[in-house]
This record gives sequence, structure tokens and C-alpha cells, in this order.
Amino acid sequence: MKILIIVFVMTTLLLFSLSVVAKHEQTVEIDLSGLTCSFCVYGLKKNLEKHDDVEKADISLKNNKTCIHLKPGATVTEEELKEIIIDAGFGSGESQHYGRAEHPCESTPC
Amino acid sequence: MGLRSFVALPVNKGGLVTRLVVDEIPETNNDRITANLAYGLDNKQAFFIAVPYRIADAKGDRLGDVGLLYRNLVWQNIDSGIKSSRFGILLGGVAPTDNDRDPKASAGVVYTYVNDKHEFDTDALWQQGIDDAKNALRYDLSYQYRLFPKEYPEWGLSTLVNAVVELAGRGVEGNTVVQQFTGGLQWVVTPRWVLEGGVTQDLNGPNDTNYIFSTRFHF
Repeated sequence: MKILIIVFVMTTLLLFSLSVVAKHEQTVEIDLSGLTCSFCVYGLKKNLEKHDDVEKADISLKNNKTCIHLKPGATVTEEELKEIIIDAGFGSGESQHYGRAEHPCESTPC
Repeated sequence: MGLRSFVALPVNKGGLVTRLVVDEIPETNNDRITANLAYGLDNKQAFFIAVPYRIADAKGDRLGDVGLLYRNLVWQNIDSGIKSSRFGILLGGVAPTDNDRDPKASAGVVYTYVNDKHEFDTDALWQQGIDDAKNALRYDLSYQYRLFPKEYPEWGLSTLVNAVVELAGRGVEGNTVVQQFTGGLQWVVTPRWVLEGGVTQDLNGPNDTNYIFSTRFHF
């Protein structure tokens, strides 16, 4: 029984620490549509970066994607980010989540 | 967006755009500056204000009547990555700045189609005179082609240069609608700052050649 309790506590601590790590410095990549001009890019970037949890939003007009870099401890959901995109007048599609270190957007000049 | 019309301008939610246009009309010495302001209420609705001011001829009123328009994008197709089309209705009016002139009510439509390097804009506006004001009609058809860059960068934006050709018509009740052809360039220096210039030729008027220069800022 004692061993079971220790395993339970250790597992809980591990999962908690993983979830904390996961909430730090994550990047969400979202496919975009209807984004056809530089003013659209500027306006969408401005609207995304207004959100308290967003550190920076990079937008690719060429690939129709946005890389949204979140602040440590960010709690904003993917749906909320997509809502901002739709509110700005554009379409949103598939999305992917990355840890900051693993995201390819970081290796390109944003 | 073409050089002579402002209503096809993309305006984001909460976005503010200011534009100063100089129309130089050498043959009539009737140069004017028009100050434009646009504000995006949300992703579909925007307001436009235009205030013309005559600078070359000292006689008569210098300040022109103020144009006000509300645009509502009632239909849009934004499902594609590089293509988009938007159709909107325009409602508004012209507010006189002098007691001798009467107001006008305005209604019209605007359509924009973008496909990668190509952009096509068209708008038409009917101005219904109130009291002694005469009815007026105006339309614009413009085509823009992105000359530079050939391809957008992977991330972020570079400077852009567009070639623009535009056919416009302006007419007041009782007079012939003057058709004008404009050719010019748009230089998107940064995503917030644009410089534009062009030459306009009247096709059926007194064959005036006009020059148009403008700068706009997106906030």
C-alpha cells in the first residue's frame, strides 16, 4: 500500500511538472485563408499581439500560416486564437502545437 | 485598391487608415488635396470620411463638401490561401460645408477580387441630391499587378510595388459622365506606409491630363 501511495504521488508530481513545462514557451501554428495583402498581415499581427498571452505572432503570406509564440504561463486556447483570426476577417484551419525549441519557425528570420 | 477610389481599402478591426491625396490639374489650375480617413469597426464594417480642399485657385470656397460612407461586407469568399473575394454595400452621404449647398445621400456597392499577384477592384456610387443638390454618379474599375516581389518571403513582409491601371467615371446630373483612365504605381514601403502616384487622362472630357500623388498610413 505504501509503495502504491509513493508511486501515485510521484506520478502526480511528474504529470504536474510536465504540464507546467508544456504551458511554458509554446508555439501554436495555424493555417490561414483569405490573407491576401500586406495590410492584412499587419492588421492580423496587431490583433493577435494585443492578447496578453501572445508574445509574438509571425505571419507567412507565402505559406498562409501564422506562428503564435505564447508567453510563459499562457492559458489562451487554440479556439480563442482562431476566434481572433476570424474576428480580424480571415479564415483559420489546421493547427499544430510546438515547444519553442522544436519549432521550425524559430530557425527562419521572422 | 486603386489610386482614385478609397472604398475598396482593406481595413482591419480597430484599424485606422489616413490618406492624403494631391490632385494636380495643370490646365484648370484647380489643384486639390483630399484627406481620407478610414476606421474598421469589425471584420465586416468600416467607416470612410473624405474632406477635399482646393489649393491652387484662391477664388471661391476652398473647403469642399465632406463625404461620409459606411461599408458593410455582406459576402466574402476567404476559403483559399491565395485568393479572396469580397462584396460590400456602401451607404452614406455628402455633408455640405457651405450653407449655399445642399446635402446628398449616397448608396453603392464595392467588390474586390485578389488572386496572388492580381487584384481587381470595382465600386459604383449613386449620390441622390436633396433639395437643390444635383444627383451624381461615380464608378471605378481598377486592376493591380504585383511587380515586386515575385514571391513573398517565408515569414514577414518585404516592400511591395504594384502597377495600377484604373478606369473611372464621374458625372453630375445634366452633364456628361467624364471617363478617366489612370495609370500609376503603388509602393508599399512598409506594411504601414504606402506611396502612390499616377497620371490620369480624361477620355471624353476636355482632354485634361491630371497627376495624382498620395500617401497613406495604417495604424
